[in-house]
Amino acid sequence: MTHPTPDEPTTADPDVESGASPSGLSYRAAVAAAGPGRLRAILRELGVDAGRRSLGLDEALLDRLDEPGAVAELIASIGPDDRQALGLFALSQTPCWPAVAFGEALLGLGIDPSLALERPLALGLVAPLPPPADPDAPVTPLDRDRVLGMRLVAHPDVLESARVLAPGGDGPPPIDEPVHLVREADGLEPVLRLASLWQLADASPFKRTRQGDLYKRDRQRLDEDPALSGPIADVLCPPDDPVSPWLHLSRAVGLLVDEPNSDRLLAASPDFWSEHGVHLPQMIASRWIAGGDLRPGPGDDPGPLLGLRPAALLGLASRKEDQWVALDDLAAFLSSRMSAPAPPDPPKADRRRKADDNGPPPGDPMRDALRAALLGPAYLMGLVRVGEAGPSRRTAVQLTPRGRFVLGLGPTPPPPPRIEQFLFVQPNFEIVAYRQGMNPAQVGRLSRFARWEQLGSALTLRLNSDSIDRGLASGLSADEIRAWLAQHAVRPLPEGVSGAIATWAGRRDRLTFFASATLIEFGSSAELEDALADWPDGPAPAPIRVADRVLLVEDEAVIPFKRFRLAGARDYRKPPEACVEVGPDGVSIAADPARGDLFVEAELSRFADPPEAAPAEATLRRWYVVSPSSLRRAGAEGMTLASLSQWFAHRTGGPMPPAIRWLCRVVDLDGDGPPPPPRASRPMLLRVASAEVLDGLYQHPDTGPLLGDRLGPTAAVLRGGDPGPLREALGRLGVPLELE
Amino acid sequence: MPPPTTARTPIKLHRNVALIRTEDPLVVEELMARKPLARLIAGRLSETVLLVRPEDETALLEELRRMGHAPRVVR
Repeated sequence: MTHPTPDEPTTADPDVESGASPSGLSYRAAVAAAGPGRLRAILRELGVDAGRRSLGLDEALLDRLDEPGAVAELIASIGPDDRQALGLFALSQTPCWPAVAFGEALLGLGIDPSLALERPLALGLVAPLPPPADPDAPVTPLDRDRVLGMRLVAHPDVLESARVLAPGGDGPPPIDEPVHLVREADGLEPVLRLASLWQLADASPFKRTRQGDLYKRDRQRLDEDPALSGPIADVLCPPDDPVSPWLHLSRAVGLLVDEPNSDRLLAASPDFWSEHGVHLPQMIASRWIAGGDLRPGPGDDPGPLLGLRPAALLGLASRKEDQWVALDDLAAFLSSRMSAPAPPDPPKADRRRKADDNGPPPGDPMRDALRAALLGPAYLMGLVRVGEAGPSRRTAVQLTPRGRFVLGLGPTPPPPPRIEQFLFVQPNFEIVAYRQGMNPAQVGRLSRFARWEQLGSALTLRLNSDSIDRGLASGLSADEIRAWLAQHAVRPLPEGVSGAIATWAGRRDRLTFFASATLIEFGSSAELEDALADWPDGPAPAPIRVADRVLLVEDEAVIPFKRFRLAGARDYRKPPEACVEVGPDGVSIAADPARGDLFVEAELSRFADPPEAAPAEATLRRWYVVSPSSLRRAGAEGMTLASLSQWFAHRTGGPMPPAIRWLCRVVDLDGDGPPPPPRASRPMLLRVASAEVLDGLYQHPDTGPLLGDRLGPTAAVLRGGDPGPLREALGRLGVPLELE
Repeated sequence: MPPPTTARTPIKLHRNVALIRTEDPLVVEELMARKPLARLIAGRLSETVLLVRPEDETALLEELRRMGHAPRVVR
């Protein structure tokens, strides 16, 4: 597992999520991409004399803004609309926004993006990436046809120093009817879904394609997981895709992390839960506001679809805490200020629900997008509560105290009443947890040692040897797990469960699976012994001897490289190299130790044996011979004809030699039954003077049916082996047949 | 006369290797006797260490658990 570090950029940025290099999207990169003219102008605004130099201007700007308090001082000097624009970066806790979406968000707040960004851009608090192609061209206006693909990147200190302000001026009109049938979610659903996803990644990391999607096998694993993909109990507008938004949000908050120099997505360290569990709902909400659940392609920009999120929430925040706003009125209000999102494909559930909805007719893209955002994720996160206005039966929404808190416009919401006992631990190892007693930290604790099975109004989990093993691996002890369960269980912990936890914990060390070990291969066992004897003492675990010439180290950093000369290195995440040649006899195989890896000889030894007498050049290559007995051994260990064919394709770069393929059939490697034995017989051959004659004999209706296989231009086999019929046929044509 | 220099030992480094290790060779035999699991084993490094292809990790762990093992997983 990997610890996210503060240095890692937030992955809320869509390009980061799509697998692009995070470093390419930092503020530093945006400044480095700016032209000297623009940098010189910014430095002039900041009172820095850049002189005539054109090099090092970016570093000078970074140095100036990195001075303590510099950014806060600059923010204090700009106007309220400018500060509100910067507040969007702070609100979403992401330094990077798609330019069109950012502009639409400002429009939704009643702010002119060109005016609000003028000073932040001039002062270098925000930088465009990539910059406009024309260095003299202004960054604004943020029209789609001008800035599509551009990101606005804020200086990191902006996230700390700026904050959104309570919106002034006009807001959406409050509803003047009583609101009933009020629903408010407990806000736990996103935390639970992310916890379930974290468990799945902890069990086995996901692999990403170059496009940033998951490989089909991993995606299928998520789609089929009953907890992650199961229906949401308290939902008003279910997501079209039950997996992708949670997956992207997990990366955005750091619960899933990209493994460096790899295509794998790993579960964050279990410490994440103790460090961030309490704040996780707020982290999820902030990243969602910035589109952390979306994955547009490089250069894409969700535009108003994303911009309406902060605009809508802040629009609701402009109303008093007890005032409600009709969803239609909010849509009309925002439509008068910003562009409408492109109409999405309506989800099936939404289509069904519209039949019962007395609101305005469907088809208003702004209303549909607001409905999907506010009644979907915002409701699940507990940011808004939803009711029905009477007698019009219009859908009404209102910010919750949590919603105001997330926007930075309200105090910390009061915690729910504490319920100490909320678990039923069954003798069949199933745990039923009642949501009313749960909080994010407890979700995290349970996630470490019990497997989520169902996320509904009641939550079910299962204890098994695997889940306990993960709990132990995360740093918990068996006693801690039992004590925690006993503390929160309504009834005493069943003895069978308590005993099983102890048994599973005791069995754990019998077998160890190293997912990505580093092995050191020595030339001889004597060299390994010498290295072990001189291995420096330290806090890291000592190397483990795993073969005569091979040591295993858990951390490559502890290898005393000063004592060794690196003769080769191989990364086993990369595809295997073709390092095997097949001899001319078709059954001899040679492995090249210079290009080979640890696997190749182990693989070879499964289905081939070293020859009794090694060829003369064996000092260079290691020879093996395939025989029926070696293939029978391979079959007994599970090897199939298909897997062996694949091995030859990978290791030799060519197909399996015919001789070995035939031997595989002989030993019946696939269990299809051996082939019929070859047959030997004495054929009667017909020879003629020329190919022309034989062609004629094959074509003539009297002689053709009497001939079998043609063995060459002038020779053929007589069908049936009896020359009599042919002699008679030729005789009728006046041609004699000589018999030898 | 300069002090004799100690020649550095040549080594070959194998990174990101997936493997199963046990203290008991009989456990390895037990694993290899189970065909669905044996298919996922790339080879033996020694009598107590089995090599695994990284892409087979999930299937292998599932199969081990199906056999009743509770492997300690080191990442």
